[in-house]
Amino acid sequence: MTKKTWKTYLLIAAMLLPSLILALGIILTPMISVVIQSFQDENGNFSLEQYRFLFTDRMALDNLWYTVWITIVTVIGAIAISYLLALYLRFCDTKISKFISTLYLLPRFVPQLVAIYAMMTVVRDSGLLNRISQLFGYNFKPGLLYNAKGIIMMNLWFNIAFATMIIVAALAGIPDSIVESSRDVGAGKIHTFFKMILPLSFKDVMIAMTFIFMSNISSFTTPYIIGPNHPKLLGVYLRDQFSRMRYERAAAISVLIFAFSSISAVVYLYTNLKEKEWEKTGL
Amino acid sequence: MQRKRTLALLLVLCLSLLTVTACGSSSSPASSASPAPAASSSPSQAASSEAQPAPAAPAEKPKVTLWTTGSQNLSDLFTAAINEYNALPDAKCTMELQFLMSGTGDTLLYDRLAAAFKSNQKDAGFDIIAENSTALFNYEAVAGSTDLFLPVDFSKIPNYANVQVETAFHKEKSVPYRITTVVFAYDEERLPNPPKTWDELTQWIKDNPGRFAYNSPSTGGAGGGFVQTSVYRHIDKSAWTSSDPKWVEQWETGFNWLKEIHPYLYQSGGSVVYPNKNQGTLDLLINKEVDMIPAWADQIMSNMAAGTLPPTTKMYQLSDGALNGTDVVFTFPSVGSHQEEAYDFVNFMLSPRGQQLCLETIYAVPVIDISTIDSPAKAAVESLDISNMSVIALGELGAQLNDKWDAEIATLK
Repeated sequence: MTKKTWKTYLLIAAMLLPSLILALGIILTPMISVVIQSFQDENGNFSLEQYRFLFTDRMALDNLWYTVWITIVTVIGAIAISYLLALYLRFCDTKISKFISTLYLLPRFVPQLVAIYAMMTVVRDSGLLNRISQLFGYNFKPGLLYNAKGIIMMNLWFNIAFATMIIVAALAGIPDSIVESSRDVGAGKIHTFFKMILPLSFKDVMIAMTFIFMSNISSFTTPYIIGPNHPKLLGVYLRDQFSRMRYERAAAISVLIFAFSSISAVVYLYTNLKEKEWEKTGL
Repeated sequence: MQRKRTLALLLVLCLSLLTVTACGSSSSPASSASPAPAASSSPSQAASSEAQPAPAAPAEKPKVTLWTTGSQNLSDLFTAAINEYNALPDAKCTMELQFLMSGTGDTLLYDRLAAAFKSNQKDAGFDIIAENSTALFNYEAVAGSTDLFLPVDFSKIPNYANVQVETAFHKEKSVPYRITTVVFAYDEERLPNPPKTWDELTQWIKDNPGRFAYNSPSTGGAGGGFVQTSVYRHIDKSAWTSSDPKWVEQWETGFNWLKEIHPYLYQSGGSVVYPNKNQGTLDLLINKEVDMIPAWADQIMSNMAAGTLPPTTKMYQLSDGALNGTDVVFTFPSVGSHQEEAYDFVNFMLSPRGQQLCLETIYAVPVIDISTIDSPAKAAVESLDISNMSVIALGELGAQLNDKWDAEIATLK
């Protein structure tokens, strides 16, 4: 069974073939044609005009930096909160933590649009919070919609559940014995965290970060409904240009979003490979 | 060992079958996206895969496909109308609906038509198009020819004689079947004396900061109509249906006015915001965050019927320049067929019964004398004065206008 004959290889190839054809057909081909289109002007001639516009036009640049800024804040915020939550769920064994651990995944099961509109009815300036405050004679206006605060809040709502899920799994993989032995030799809680727990869960944190980054750099629904008129996130900007029939510029924006995602993919691959090296020397 | 191998082989077979079926299902929208290949085989068959289930009809009746795009209510309207028409014993054809939800594939309808036109198709399954007359100029622009739509033989549509509306699109090529317009909407209870003219409106907005809002023009026709009327009411009427770039320099007066009212519009979180989509401003009116908005008349009426807007909600136009609206027409693309039979359906839509369907399903303003229609929904529409509705069709300038708004108004602090 261990000896691989050409038949086995043929079988492996045959089993991979369907997914390879699918990947080529529905992912690679459109991607290549979009890249080609992004290097064309309106008449289909080769041109760098679209990229020149995206990197010189004031509004396009505003949109670009705004997207990057919101995404980075989302990633950092989501990871920080998720890590604390995951630590709490892993190392505190109380009724509350058990309750939270059954509940925290709920946002994963709520469709995006439903969640956004639900959140809007609560936090809009005439929403639930405002009406409750009016009962007590105040007129509290959260001012969370149509600006960055609202988008980031919504992004956190969606991504904390996902990040927590990954980090909890990572922390669960750290045996109690490691923590206990570290405490036995006199390490404090903080020392144990930085020397043992953080390094052991670092890879999964990076995975969570790349996924959050990738899904948020191209986000559309949230910023489209509760985002500001200017600057716009790249996803909304892309749709705008597309609906104004500037297909080449829309293609260039797609390529830009793809480039950003690739950076995070490289980071992801790098951390994964590094882990492999460590495993090799460890074994 | 042997069993394992058979199992693996079976798996491979299953997987490859899956791929084939997956390809099959993913290619069906693709085939409708490019009408050219669909046409070479059988257009009606290609279309029927997505169309509404039609009642069984005698085989000799030809299938006529109606294409339209818009919000869900339009799909409801034509589903109802087509079901009723197909059930008529003397219907001359079997109608089918192809509906493109706006915001998902609507940019593609004119692309599809243009593709079929440019490849010289004669029978591509686009038999009737129902579209805003102001949008149809865009269809011609994309196709690059005014021959995209066929002239209409009005003598074969007897009910056309009752139509009281003149279309903004080519008269000889379109049959208007309803009217839709942007209006100012307010709650009588909160605003007993609404401004009557544009000057009064300016003053009212300044006196009541934060109580007026319009949605960003590229995200919905209500805000788009408001911006277009604000800009074009200062410009000669001949510009209103022109896509000539020479008019761009005259936009300044209108844009200066938009800048002037900007600081007094609806605010949230300390800055002025223009909600996205028509629903965005409607929500503000519903939640009493603002007192007046520009909105589509039919959306206001639907919300009143649903109870989300109070019965005290009123709609009106300013006396010195109504907001824009458009007649919605049937046209017959040269890439379609069965024009003769299609006339029969169009004739049905222009009958009092057809107009009543439009009125009751989507609160459309009828194109025939409203007294010939018997419907309780009539009262809501009767109050709308559409006689001075402005018709603005900018074609490709529309995108430029939105660009300018994005650059100059949206960026204001």
